[in-house]
Amino acid sequence: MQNEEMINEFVAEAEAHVNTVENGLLSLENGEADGETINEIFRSLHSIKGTAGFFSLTRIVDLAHSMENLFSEIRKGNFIINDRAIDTLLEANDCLKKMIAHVEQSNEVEIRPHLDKIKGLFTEDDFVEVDKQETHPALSPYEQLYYTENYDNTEADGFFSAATKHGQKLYRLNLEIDRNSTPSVDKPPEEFVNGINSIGQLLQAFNDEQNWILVFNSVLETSLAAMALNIAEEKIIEIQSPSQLAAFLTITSIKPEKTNDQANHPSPDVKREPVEKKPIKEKQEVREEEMEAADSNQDLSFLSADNNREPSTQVESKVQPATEESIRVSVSLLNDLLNLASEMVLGRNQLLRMTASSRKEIPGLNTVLQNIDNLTTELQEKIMLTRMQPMSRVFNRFPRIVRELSKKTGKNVELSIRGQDVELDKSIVEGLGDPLTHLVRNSIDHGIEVSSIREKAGKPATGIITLHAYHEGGQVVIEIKDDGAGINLEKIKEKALESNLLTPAEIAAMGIQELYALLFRAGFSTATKVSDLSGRGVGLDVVKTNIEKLGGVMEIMSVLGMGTTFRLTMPLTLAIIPTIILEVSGHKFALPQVNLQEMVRVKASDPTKRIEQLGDAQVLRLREKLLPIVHLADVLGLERTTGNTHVAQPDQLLRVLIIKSGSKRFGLIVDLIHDGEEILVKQLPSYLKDSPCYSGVTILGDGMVAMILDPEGISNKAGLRFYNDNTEQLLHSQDSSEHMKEQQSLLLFQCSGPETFCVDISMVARVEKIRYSQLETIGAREFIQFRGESLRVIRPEDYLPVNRSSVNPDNYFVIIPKLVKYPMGILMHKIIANYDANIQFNWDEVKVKGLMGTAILSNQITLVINIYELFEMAAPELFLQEQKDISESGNIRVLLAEDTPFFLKLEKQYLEWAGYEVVTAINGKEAWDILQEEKIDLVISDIEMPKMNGFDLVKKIRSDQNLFALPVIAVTSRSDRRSREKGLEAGFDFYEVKLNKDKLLEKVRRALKKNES
Amino acid sequence: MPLKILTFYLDGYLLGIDITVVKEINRNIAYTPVPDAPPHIVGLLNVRGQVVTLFDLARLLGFARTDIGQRNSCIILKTIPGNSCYAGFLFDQPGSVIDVTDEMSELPPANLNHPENVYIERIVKMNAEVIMVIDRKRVIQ
Repeated sequence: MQNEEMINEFVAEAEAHVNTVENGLLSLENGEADGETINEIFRSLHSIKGTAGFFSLTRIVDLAHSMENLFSEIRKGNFIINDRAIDTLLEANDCLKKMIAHVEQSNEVEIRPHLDKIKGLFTEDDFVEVDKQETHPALSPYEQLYYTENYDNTEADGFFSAATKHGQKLYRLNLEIDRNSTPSVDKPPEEFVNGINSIGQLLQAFNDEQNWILVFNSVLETSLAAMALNIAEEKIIEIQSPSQLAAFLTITSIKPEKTNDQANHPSPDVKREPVEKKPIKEKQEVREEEMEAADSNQDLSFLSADNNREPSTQVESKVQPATEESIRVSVSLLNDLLNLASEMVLGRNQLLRMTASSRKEIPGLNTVLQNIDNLTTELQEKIMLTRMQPMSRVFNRFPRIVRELSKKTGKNVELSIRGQDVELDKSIVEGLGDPLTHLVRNSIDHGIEVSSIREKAGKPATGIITLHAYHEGGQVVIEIKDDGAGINLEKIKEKALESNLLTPAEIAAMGIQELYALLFRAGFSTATKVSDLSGRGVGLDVVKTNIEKLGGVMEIMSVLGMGTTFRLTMPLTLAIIPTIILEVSGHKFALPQVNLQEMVRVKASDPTKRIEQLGDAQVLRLREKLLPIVHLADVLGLERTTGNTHVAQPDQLLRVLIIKSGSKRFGLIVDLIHDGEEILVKQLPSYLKDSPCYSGVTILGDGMVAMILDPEGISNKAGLRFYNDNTEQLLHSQDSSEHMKEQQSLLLFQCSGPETFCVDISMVARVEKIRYSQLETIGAREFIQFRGESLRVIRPEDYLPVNRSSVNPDNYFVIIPKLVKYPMGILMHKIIANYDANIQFNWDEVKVKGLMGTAILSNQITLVINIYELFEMAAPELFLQEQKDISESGNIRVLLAEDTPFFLKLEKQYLEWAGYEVVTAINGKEAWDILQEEKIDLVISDIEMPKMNGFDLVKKIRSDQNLFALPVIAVTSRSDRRSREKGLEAGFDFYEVKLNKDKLLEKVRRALKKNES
Repeated sequence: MPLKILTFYLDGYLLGIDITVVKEINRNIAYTPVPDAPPHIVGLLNVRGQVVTLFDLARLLGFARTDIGQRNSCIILKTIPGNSCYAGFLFDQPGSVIDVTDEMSELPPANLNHPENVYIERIVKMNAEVIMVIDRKRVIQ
């Protein structure tokens, strides 16, 4: 056989062809096909046959040939294609596919049943018998004998050199003929034409009285050619020189009287085996070009030849679009290029760094460097593009799958595909095949209902499945959408109960997305009966894992009765992934960011996050959940440099990365966390295959190699076992962590009565412990000495409508608040807890001065104290004057934009207290909308807000013609100088820390004054 | 069969390797040690974007002293068919390239019975010293 490379070329080509055939057949079935489709199928089959013949893949040739035959009949209108024919042809095409995939074994594949079935089709009624004499088939072998062209000497030279160049030999086949004698002599020449066409090419044929001379080229040796043609070896004579060849090619005069001959040779299979003749000259030129190019040209040349000979073809062939030239390049070469390009980027960076000082000294250097800089970047980008493949590579298989499945399930399903041209990295496109197939199966099996049910529900009888790929924000989104029954949440709940996965209480507390997430759990299926297609319990969990492996994210959206959409968000390339670089015992590692849930700094003194010892194991208490902790240094057999002792030192800081891998969560202790870096993933060298903790290697920006950590491997090596229960809890805790932005820290305490109070910790400067004896009474008021000054302390129960008792314990605690003008201490009896939570405040129930509202914390009603109001009640004389000043400035409308309800409420109270009219907005966007509609005198805006943040809002205001002069104050929890400068730069008039009531009000006044003047 | 051998010193021994399997020699390299890797792997090296696995040849050969701390020169071998990963090993000092004929070389003597001597392909008798020639295929495996 020929060398491997050629065979691979053939396989790649043939695979494309069988796909064309398959798609063509499917569109024929749907009635979308026109004559061009049939031509296309025919051409593809023919190409397969031709090339396979070249490699002596006889079974492939036979099957393709028989399929091609049927199509030639279809083309001629002799046979009208029906469903059965399509079934048969699809099966045969599958067989072809199989043989092509395993080329080496293809000659052992049993193709007889397919051949018989195809032959069977001919005898059916559909086969319209047309008078054969009237049709104008393509050239029969017989005709080919006569239509060979005439050549002159120079062309003979060309043929000869071309043939030698391609390793072909030129042969002359001598056939004795004697029309009147017995068939003891050789077979008629036309029977050899097909044989010759499969091993080479017929160049010339002519006859004299006794002999037929066929001149052909082939790569086969004389003996092999003889075997292939099934003729004695001595009949084939090699032509050694151009002059010999010329002698044969130029014999033109003795062309026989062909019409007579044709009449005399009514060969039975002439009509059924049309063998088109390629214009030889063109073919020879083409041979010199690349395989790929040759392939398309060959098709084209065939097409034109075909049209010339068949003016009566039903459909005029459309003009084929000019195919862009392409060549096949091996993936490993592309990967090498990619490596070199990224290495060049590193080199460029070094160059830029080193020449930075001498750029001015050497004139022109800067320009050159910039040029190199740009070129390198562009080069790398272009090389990345070479790995991109269109989605059509995976989408193409779905018409067939949907057809098979809809037949199997008896459901009517239509497939619509959009975005085939969207390109993704080769490895991702290849990896998407199985997950997508699974999802489409799932949609047909579970989603789409049978026609009768659909009609009852008022939907069209035919269900539609849409595959849609599109770009979104630097990623590619692939949607698999059906208009079926949708996901029945009740069914999920039932199933979860049935299989004892969850208790009814747990289910009741779950949100829709959490319930959908159950579908991703191993062994969970809602299909009422296990079918052949899906619902065998190995379902969506595998899909999800595979998608995540490719760096993607999977979501479910569903409306009961309307349909379900699976949404996959994939990165454009797999080769480059975002990671964080971490360090342990002096070694640097890269951890893929997809595996990172959060980073936690654990201080022994912090009671909310603590590392505890359970036997040998360490666990982290995070948001009241326990997470197993692994020291990366231990896993890798390195010496620990942090977290050495079991009893953590109070000031020791541990950096814990919370890792997620599938449904597993665990904490990984590392020494240092460096920057995030986008890295190019390289395969792990084969010598390191036994190290389970690594998934690959990469080269960092400094040119050093770093290992990429594999969380799965680490957890296995560390011997972590995860129980369902554990992971489930952690899933919940993950959910709560997503809302962390809304979280507040509260200090819970009790005074003499049973009520629980709380204040926001951000308002507490410190908490002092004092003894009863330290309290000094002056009049009705109590004081303590604090840092050398007397500080008034108040008991909240004196001013608030709560219970009290006259018990005086020995020890008290005093809250020293911050951000107040006139400091006073709040006396409390007992500190209950420090509470971090996502708290739902109830503002409206308690309308009492001094209280902001209530909240349920630890199943207890807690009163939220408004420190400002409380102080005002305690010392009204201090605040009276101020209020007078302010109330003069009434009728001023202030717009307050703040996303945290707590602060919104508090700031609103300050402002209203000061006599302003307050309009509130919960994000920048809403604030902007209000500004468009209402008259506002001043804006106070938070910086961090969803939808539109404070910076964007103020920029928008400043660039608006009507609003640019509006005073805008920023309130923020960031009080460092840099953010202040940034705020002022962005256009804020003032920049104030949240919760400082007095300063804020002062700024409001100043801003308003400034505006007036 | 005459061949050219690249010689180098490692732990005081003079070793050699068939020069046709050597891709390049690098000096002053900075490689990354790999924790949790087999002990005979020193680390990974970036050579123009290709990741090269560096072996500890001294350990493979069972030399007593395996202080790899100061070594920063390495020989990088060509890849062998079927395994596209580059491999290399550290050495102390380069020697030279010498022509070796069949008469000069012998199979390892029977008393060189370290289990590690499987890596030694042949012994070359020079005037003053002997050279142990490394069998590349075995080392890589």
